[in-house]
Formats: sequence, structure tokens, C-alpha cells
Amino acid sequence: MNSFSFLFAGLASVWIVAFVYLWRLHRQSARLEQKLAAIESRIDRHD
Amino acid sequence: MSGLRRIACIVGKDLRSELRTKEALTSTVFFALLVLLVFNFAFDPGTRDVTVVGAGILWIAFLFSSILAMNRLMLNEREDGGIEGLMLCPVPRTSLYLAKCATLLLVLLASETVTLALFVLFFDPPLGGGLVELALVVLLGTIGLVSLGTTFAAMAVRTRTREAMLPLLLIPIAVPLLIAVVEATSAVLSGEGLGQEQKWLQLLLAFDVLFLGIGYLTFPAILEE
Amino acid sequence: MTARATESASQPPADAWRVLVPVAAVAMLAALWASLFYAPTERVMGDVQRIFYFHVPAALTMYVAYGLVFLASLMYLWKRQERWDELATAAAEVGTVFATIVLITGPIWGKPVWGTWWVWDGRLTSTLVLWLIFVAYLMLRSYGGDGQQVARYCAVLGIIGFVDLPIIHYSVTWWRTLHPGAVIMTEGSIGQGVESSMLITIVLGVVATFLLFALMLTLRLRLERLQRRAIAAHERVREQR
Repeated sequence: MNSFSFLFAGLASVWIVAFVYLWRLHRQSARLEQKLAAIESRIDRHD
Repeated sequence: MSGLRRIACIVGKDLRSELRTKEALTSTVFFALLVLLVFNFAFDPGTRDVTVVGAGILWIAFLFSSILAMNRLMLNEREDGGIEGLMLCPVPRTSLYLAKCATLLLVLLASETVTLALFVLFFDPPLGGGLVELALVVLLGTIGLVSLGTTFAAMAVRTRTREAMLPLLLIPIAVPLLIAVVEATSAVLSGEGLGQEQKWLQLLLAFDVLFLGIGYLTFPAILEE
Repeated sequence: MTARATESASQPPADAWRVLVPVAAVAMLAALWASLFYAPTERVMGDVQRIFYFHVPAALTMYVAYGLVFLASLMYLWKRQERWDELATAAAEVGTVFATIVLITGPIWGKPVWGTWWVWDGRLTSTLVLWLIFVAYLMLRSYGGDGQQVARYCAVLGIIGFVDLPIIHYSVTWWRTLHPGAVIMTEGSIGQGVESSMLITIVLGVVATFLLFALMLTLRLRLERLQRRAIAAHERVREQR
């Protein structure tokens, strides 16, 4: 392996880790927001 | 009663209940003996220079058996509402930290003395006249372990993972302590003495003072209900 | 409902991350371009040295994040306001993401330069220990028990972990210098003869990773608040039954 493939692997790992983490945060937030809306509307109706 | 007398009172109570069952003492000594046995097979120090691996073996035995003792002593408080009773005592929460540290230190020093005797018996390191220096290193190292262990064990027994949490919290934080005690101990075990290793003693001292201080200040936040 | 509305008004706007997405993306792309085409090829290490422009800023961001955990932990123990605990949670997790990036890019850079993936050099060892401390922190977060107890425990661990940092640094450096033959990478090998284009690229890298950090932190804070609201809502549902 030459110097450039190591460089590529290093840079790719930075972007992959960042992307995967951001994507997970976004997905979890979106899902939770939906569930929360459902629960809270039910609570409000109950009140 | 003065503050010190009250602390002594709590320590006396804890030691009496420990001496009644000897749970922590026997389990740590026996465990340390097993560690020595396993490392004897793993490293075969008979054919190798004991000064190279001896300090590591000794401190792994001390570290793991101390984790056992920390969990044992804190679980006793968790059962039967022990800690709630202590919190009703007319002592500041910070004094409870010192009392717990003192109990743990005394139990560990007792078990470490036995372990050390067994270690010298089995591996016969060229100690020279370094017994006092070795005792100093062991004392400083154990105080450091105790200062962190009291805090972390009090946390760990209240988590969902119980005892399993303690080593995960303790070992990474104790890395500088472990480096310092192993370096200092191997200097003593090789018969060279601590002359060249003053900085490890200073590091140990700084570690002990710092984490006793932080433990003292933060213990009330851990006991809060 | 009104209580919830006033509470969110005192917090930073929930949509801050929407602005940060394009800003951080552009900065990261600019830093990537600069590291690949603008900065000159390093004479000794060759092209692989360009990892440096992300590796070092990530390390810097990691320290900033863990410093933030320390400050938020102190503030939580002092003020007992939930928002400091939220900040500590978010900063610890995002800091660990950056620590992971540092620990991945480091060996990839080290392999062609040193010939091995890992050496137990002072800096590598202390970064690994730091990562372990905060992984333990995140485990304590997930297994620590109910809300206030876990907040107090984590605040104490956050303080102890951060105070331990300089001690870890000194101990592993002394430990390594005692053993000859270790590969020691000094600041000097990078610091000497830095060209201005290298300097500009590294500054760009720092700005880009800080923006990425800000984006991750705001998103993680938003998730944390949603999770806490969900727990509160579940409790209310249970009360109503």
C-alpha cells in the first residue's frame, strides 16, 4: 500500500465516523419527535 | 464528641462487623494468593528475573483484590439500609468519606501484608534492605486506590450493573497510579532502592492528596437521596 | 403546555442545527480541499502527512469537548440545574466521537511513517486512557440509575476524569522516557519550517472541526431534551392510568 491509500483511508474514516454519528442523531431525534407528538396529544386529550 | 472521635467510632463499627465475618479479609487474601498462583504459571518467574515481572504481579494482585474488598464493604452498606443509618448519624457527609476510606485502607493493608509475605516467600526477590521503602510505596499506592475506590464503589453498587461497574471506572483513572507504583516497586524489588525514582513517589503523593481532596468534596453529592 | 413553552424559550433556538449543517459542510469540504491540494506535500512523510490536517484538529476538539464536560459537571454540582447535566451528556458523547476519530486516524498515519500501527508512546497511551475513561463515563450514563442520581454520579466522574488528565500525561511521558528505544514524536518535527500554506490549512481544519463539533453538540442536545421529555411524558401517562 502506498502513502496515498493510507491518506485516503484516514480521510475516509473521518467522514464516515462523522456521517454515521450525525445520521444516527438525526434518525433518533426524528423518531422520538413523532412518538412524543403522539403521546403528548394523548395526554392533552386526557386532560 | 469531636469530629475525629466520631470518624473513629464509625471506623470501629465497620471493623467490628468485618472482623465478625472476615468476608472482605479472607476473600481478598485468598484471591491475591490465586493471582500469584496464576501468574506463576503464566510468567514462570523461576526461570526469569523476578525483578522484571515481580512488581507487575504484585500490583495486579493488589489491584484486583482491592476491587473485591471495595465492592464487599460497600455492598454491606447497601444491604439492610446500612448507609441510610449512617446518613442519620450526626456527622457531616464528608466525614463519612474519611471513615469509609480509613476502614478500607486498614482492611487492604492487612490483606496486602499477608500477600506481600506470600510473594516474598514464593518469588524470593533480591529485596536488600528495601522493606521500609517497599512499605512506603505500598502505603502510598493503597491510599490512592482507596481514595478513588471509596467514591467509585459507592457509585457502582447503586448502578444497575452493580459490582461490575467498579473496575471499569477505577482502572482507567488509576492508570498514572499504577504506572508509578509498578515503577517504584520494581526499583525496590531489584534492590536498587528509590534513590533514582523520587519522582514516582512525588507523583504518588500528588495523586493521593488530589483524589482524597476531590473524594472528600464530592462524597456528599454521591450520598444524596 | 405553558410551562413547556417558557422552558424552551430560555434555551437556544431548537433550529440552530439547520443553519449549522450547510456551514459545517462547506467548512469541512474547504478543509478537505486545502489539505489535499493547497498544502504542499511533506518532504519526509509524503502524502500521508495530510491526515494531520484532520487528526490534530480532532484531538483539539476532543480536549475542548472534555473540558466542556468538566465545566458542565462543576456547574451541575453547584447549581443543580438540569441543563448543565444535558450539556455534560452531549459533550461527553460528542467528545468521544472525536476521540474515536483521533484513535482511528492516528494508527493509519503511523503505519506508513513508523512501520507499525501502534506504539506505546506517551501521547498515544494517554489518548487511549482518556478514551477509556469517557467510554466508562458513557456506560455509567446508561446504567447509572434514575435521572438525578446518574447526573450526580456522572458529574463526579467528569470532574475526576478531567483532573486526572495532566497526571496521566506526566506519568506516561515519564514512563516512556525511562524506556529507551521508544518512538517519540516531538512537536518540533511538525513545528519546524512550517510553510504559511500549511498553517492556513491547519487553521482551516480547526475551524471546520469546531463547526462540526458545534453541529454534533446541538443535535445531541436536542436529542437529549427530547429523550427527557419522553421520559416525563411516559411518567404522566402512567399517572393518568
